[in-house]
Amino acid sequence: MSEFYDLETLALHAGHVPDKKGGSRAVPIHQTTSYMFEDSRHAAALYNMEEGGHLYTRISNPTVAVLEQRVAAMEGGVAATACASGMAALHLVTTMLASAGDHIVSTAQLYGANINLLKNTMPRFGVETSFVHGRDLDGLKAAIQDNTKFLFCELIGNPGLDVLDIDAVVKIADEAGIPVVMDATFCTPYLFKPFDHGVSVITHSLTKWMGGHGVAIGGAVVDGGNFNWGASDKFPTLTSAHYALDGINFWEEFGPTALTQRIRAEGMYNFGPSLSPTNAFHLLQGIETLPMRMEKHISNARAMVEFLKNHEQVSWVKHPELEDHPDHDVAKRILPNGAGSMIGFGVKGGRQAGAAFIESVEVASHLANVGDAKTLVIHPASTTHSHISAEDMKAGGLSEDMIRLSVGLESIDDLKKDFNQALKKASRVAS
Amino acid sequence: MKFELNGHEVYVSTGGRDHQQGQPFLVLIHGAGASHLLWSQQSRSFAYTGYNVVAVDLPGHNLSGGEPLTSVEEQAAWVLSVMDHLGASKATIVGHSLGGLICLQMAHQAPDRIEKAVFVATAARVPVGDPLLSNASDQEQLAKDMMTSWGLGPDAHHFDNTVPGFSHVGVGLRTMDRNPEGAVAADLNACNNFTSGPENAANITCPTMCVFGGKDKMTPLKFGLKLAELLPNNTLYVLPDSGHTIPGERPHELNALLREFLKA
Repeated sequence: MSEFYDLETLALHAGHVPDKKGGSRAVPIHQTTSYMFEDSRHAAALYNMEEGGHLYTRISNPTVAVLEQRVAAMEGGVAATACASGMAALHLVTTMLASAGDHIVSTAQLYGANINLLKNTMPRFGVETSFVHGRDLDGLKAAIQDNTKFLFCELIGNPGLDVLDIDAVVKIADEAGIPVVMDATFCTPYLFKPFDHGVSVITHSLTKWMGGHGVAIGGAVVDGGNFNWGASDKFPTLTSAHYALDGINFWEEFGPTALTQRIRAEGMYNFGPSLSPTNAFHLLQGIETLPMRMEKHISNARAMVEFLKNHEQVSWVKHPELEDHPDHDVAKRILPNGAGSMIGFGVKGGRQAGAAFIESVEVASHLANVGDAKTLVIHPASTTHSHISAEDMKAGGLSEDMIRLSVGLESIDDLKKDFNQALKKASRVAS
Repeated sequence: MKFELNGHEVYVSTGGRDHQQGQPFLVLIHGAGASHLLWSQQSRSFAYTGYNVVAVDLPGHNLSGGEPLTSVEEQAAWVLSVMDHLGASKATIVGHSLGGLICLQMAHQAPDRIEKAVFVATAARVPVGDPLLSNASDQEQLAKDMMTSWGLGPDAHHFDNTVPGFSHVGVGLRTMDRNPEGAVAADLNACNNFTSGPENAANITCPTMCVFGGKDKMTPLKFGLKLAELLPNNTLYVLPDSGHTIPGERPHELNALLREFLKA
């Protein structure tokens, strides 16, 4: 029978075999900009993509490569390219697949910066995006045009926690001959394996649950290698002559890894959104414990949902595992290991009470990140999503009184005590 | 490069460079369920260092049309007809696994056309046992999983890779997925049914080289060594830590050995 390693093993080992020379068991940090060529022929071969290797850290680096290979392994992709952040990852995919005059269809329930890139920045370069509610499958289908290059989505919408019926969305994209690109930051491969459901490209903010420690920003594009770029003439960046490398045709030459090769040859080369080797090392330390952390994230999140649901000072609680969540059935079907550790809730007394709550927590931290080992709280309407219009906020499932909670790994009793005292202080403002 | 042969479209990778008049031909033949993509670390490298590279997609594989051929004899004849089409009167042929059997048959069918032959991770006989053979017909995905799992050495299973960010497991599985249904079964049956290998090997007169992996689970080293013993004019190399997929797992070592052998 076939034997591939499980996620827990891959999280610890994938991408790194201790080198015989130094024998370092931990992944070494290759803090270097450049690499010695063996001779002029070797140099030419690396520049010409004749063989694998490192020539300059803007393009690739041995420590970063371990991270890339680990993420590719955990997601079941053909390759991964690490980059400076999750936003750099989306920018790489967008610019490698779409050119001026092209179009993208996206679900509307997205992280604010993802919306901004597609809605406000890319149109200046001639790439338009149609946003459709993720539950509006007919609308998604109708929005696809002849010049649509991909369908973008998040499985668990940020911060509305809408869960996408990804199987139905992939079917729509398949029928239109376009790939699905998913930002899988909120699910991680512990909760959901997008490629097993027909997604073709994954973007990650590794800063969040994957790293988990909140010390390093990083992102990645993971290539599923499962999309037939050559089935139509829609993807000339991959199937026609490249401007360099003697007019290489990435699809013919490299097949399933065509997108990654283009990202490496053009995206990393021309834009330079490289991840630092030290940040790659930090992210690897976090990934080693992802499976155990996710288990605890999920159990703590479930306990906090129950706690908040029954708290008299809380007006509403939103989590996909609650029966009254509009996507409860979808979440149950596609996220059997847990629907994430993000919770939305409203503090009775509105905006001022919400602010009082956030300022009163002592264990939870008030900051902009999510997916940290530590519990985090924020008021999206005045912070992360403050640049989004009221209309887009509503479409994204946001309300003015919403507190976004990213449940960490602390003792659940300490978290409950902390929330109890902070909600008590909020109630004084409310009254 | 695409062209038509026997009414079907044929794709061969030239390693990104047009063939040049007077350069020697280097024909790279993939193994069961694979395609020219197996040689991505060889084809460009040799195309840009003086060789007319012909990395074939066998019929019914990846970008080549038609039905998969069901015997090594047919596959060898087909590669020779590709050489005819490209004006390659002679070539050095390199075969991986099933491709090695095809090389044995080509050397038997057309000894004057073979300059040198290289056998990578193969043997004179490659019998395919159950359940792989039956799964290839009934449960193709399971057969692909088994071949990818057995086809990679321990380092590749740890996702070590000379190409930054790449996964041998992912590339192996998705490369096989590029082939139409039935290709794996046809290839494995061709391997299993080819019995002339030992006799062919013993009669090869051109210089040959064998490169085998010490941790090959698909074609274990002991079978490869038997082939090496049969070949009259052979040089043997064993890469101790490599699994079956030497062109991807150990590209630098294989390319260096190939380059030296081609120049000798």
